[in-house]
Amino acid sequence: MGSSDDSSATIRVRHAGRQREIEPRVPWRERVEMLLLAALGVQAFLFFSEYWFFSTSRRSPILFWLLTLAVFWNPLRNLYNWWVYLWASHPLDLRRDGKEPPLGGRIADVLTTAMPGEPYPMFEATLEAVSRLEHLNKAYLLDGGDDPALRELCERLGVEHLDCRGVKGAKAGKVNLCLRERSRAEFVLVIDPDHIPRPDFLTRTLPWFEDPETGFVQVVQAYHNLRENWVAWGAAEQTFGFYGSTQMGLNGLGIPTAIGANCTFRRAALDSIGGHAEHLAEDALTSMRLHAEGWNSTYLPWRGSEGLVPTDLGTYWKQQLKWATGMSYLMFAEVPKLFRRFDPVARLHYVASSTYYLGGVAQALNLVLPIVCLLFQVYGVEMPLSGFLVHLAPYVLVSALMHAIAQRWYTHREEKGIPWRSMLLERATWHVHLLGFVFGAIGRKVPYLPTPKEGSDKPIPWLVAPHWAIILLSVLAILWVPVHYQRIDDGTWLMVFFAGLNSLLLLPAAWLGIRGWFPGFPSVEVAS
Amino acid sequence: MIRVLRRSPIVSGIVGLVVLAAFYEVAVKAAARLVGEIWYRQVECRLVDDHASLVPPRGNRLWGMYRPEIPWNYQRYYTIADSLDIVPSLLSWYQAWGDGPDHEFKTDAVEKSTKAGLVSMVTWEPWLSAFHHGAVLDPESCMVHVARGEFDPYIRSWARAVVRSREPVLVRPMHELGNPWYGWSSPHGNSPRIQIEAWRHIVALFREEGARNAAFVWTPYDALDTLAWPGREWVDWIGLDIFNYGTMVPGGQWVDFKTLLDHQLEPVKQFGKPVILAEVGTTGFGGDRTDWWRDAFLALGNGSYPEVRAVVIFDNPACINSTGIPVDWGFSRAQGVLKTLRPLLGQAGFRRPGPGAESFSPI
Repeated sequence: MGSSDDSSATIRVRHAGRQREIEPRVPWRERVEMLLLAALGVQAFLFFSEYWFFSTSRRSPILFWLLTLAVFWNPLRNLYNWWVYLWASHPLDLRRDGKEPPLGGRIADVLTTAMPGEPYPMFEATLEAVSRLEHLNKAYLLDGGDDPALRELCERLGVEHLDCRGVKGAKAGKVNLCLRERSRAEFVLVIDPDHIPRPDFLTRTLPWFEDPETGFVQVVQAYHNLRENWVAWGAAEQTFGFYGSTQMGLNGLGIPTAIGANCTFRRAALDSIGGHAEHLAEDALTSMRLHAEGWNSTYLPWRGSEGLVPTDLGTYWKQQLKWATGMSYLMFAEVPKLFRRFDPVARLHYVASSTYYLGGVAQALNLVLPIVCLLFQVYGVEMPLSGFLVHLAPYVLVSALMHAIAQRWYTHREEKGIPWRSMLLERATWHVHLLGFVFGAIGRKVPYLPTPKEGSDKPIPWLVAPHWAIILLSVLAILWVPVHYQRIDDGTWLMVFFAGLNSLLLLPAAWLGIRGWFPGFPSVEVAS
Repeated sequence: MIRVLRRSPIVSGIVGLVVLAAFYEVAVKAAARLVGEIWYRQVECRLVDDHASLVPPRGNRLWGMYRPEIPWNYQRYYTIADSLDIVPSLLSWYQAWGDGPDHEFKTDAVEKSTKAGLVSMVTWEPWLSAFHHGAVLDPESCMVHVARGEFDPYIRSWARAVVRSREPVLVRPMHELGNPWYGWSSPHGNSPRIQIEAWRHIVALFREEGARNAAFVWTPYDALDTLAWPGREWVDWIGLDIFNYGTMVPGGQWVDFKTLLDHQLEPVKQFGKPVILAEVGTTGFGGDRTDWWRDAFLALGNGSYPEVRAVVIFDNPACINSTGIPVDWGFSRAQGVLKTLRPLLGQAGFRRPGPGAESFSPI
């Protein structure tokens, strides 16, 4: 396991300050505010839609509808998100007595996986924390490489080491092997090796299994390396909303989803679906199957563990490709199978979540259409830029307010603020989402790779080539206008605006991808 | 009810969306209309320049032109103005009534002309057959429909667009009241009474909408049209269209500018309004164009037509006339015309470029 240098290194856990953590509850006043704001948001959305569809600005029908997909994708998903937010609840909010249920003597096994090449100090830190967990029955390390150093570490810490060489099905395969052959506890916590659990992890999650129909309990997945650079921060930022308002909303709706990194399962639930699902998006598929089987789930907005988030674009994109491919594959292959067994809310949610990466298509259209329109002087819409902006402004304002309000339910004060990094990163990931969507659609296999735990600063020219192509073509298309056009009219100004905005938003990631070639430039660090 | 909504998040979501959409359709739109109306009345209407500023001081005249590429391109117009050594003031173009995009008030064209220091005269032709909805296909007495208010939304939309353009605009609806070529003319059963009613109706709507910057140009075709005079308070300018067809038609004859103008001007002098020669042109059949134009501006320069405060040259080298024959009304193509006229225009009251030229700028 790792080189000998690694053993002397230690994992730096940079705590963001536990005293600034929040375990959000949702008082009725906040719920009413959210409801009013969502109502206002729908008005703003209709205001913009009416302008887009019913002003006399439509031109070529094909371009118009493609452009509509590009422009409306995000607002439509936002409407869905707002609806989810309206149901946001802490599990305590849903209990009549408002008290946490008793622990009732429940204990759990903890399963961690290892793959060759992952750094030794990481396991040292994680397994030490695991062995200190309260209400721990037995801890297992499922080692895909049978590393002697890890075996020795396990022995020292009282963790059972399981040789999992040659076990298929990646993480889930090992988990299932362990469940079949070793673990006998009623509850199991599956935790990623980069996630350091707090001693009271099980003390907080196990009480929520009081309801015999509860299949799993999910907590927040927090990160301790997010201050490393803006990619890390941005990648983490994308999850803040998910672990805040979205999962809390799903909790209120009764279907919070399981996340691979730190979910506590009821063994009987996993058994009922034939074990942990083995899939690229194994956590999502496991959730789906459990919900289809009729199990409930609970989401506790509490930071039970802290792990690592990708710190460089290459790693981040690899992770995103895995998720995007996995989720779109689920959309095409699994959701239709399970659809009839879901309850109505689960149907809506799983269709919505599995189509998330269709956004890659919308994004690509968003980037390409302005270039096509400008270069070939064709029009999808011809509305004045001012009209477009004026009609979009109320929606943008409300969604910003909505975002600000939803931030009340984030679990740490440092998460609050304008999420510009995640917005830039999301924009820059269009090609990966697009590719993932296509891979999922054609059923192409992407190898399951555990997300690398160490960042690198190497240039990744091929991964940012599409960005540079879009930027250059957009600039070219904009310059083409004064050279070639007889008259610059409304439709052209709008497309010039889109093309210009697109290039600006792609620039940071495009630059980051080739920054390694220019060592003289300082790296972009997150100001703390 | 509430319990059902709470138990079924999807039903409550859909019900919520329907309620919100209905609210938008009823309340938000009403509120938006109200706010828009207040904004229009209290802000936009106050920003308007009164059209009275258009009338130049006594002894001065505005120069204007119609050309096929106007209002989108002024290149040629500027070249002509340079050759004549005058400052151009007016642009003239033509628009038919209708509900398509081509029939909307050309706000962008007016904005462009304003930036160039030019005032637009729009000859606004009520071809009621050009509407997709509510078209009147039979020209017989068709202006009754305008007087009855059937085209009010369209007229009001123009009035508001005129207000929003802020600068003075010459609006010339129903021009050549007696010309049988046009559907709104008296030969089509639009009696003087109908024409007066329709005219007053249009002007009244513009006034209701606060279009103080719209100057209405009333254009008769022959002496009989004085019967259709709507009254002093309903007209701002009188327009006269002066054309010499020469011997183009059998039995036709070459008529000089002065004769044509006297013939048209005499009946309308009594109304006491500033006169704009809204279209002036001559063919080359049976005479010399250059002579005709020279005589015209000599006549304008000798002080006998103080009422005429603006002249718009009809410079169209390939105009299709009612017989379908293309007629050359070209003014500027013959270099001789421009050279001959250049020294005469100052005397005729047209503005020369140079210091002090802005003293009676209409904008």
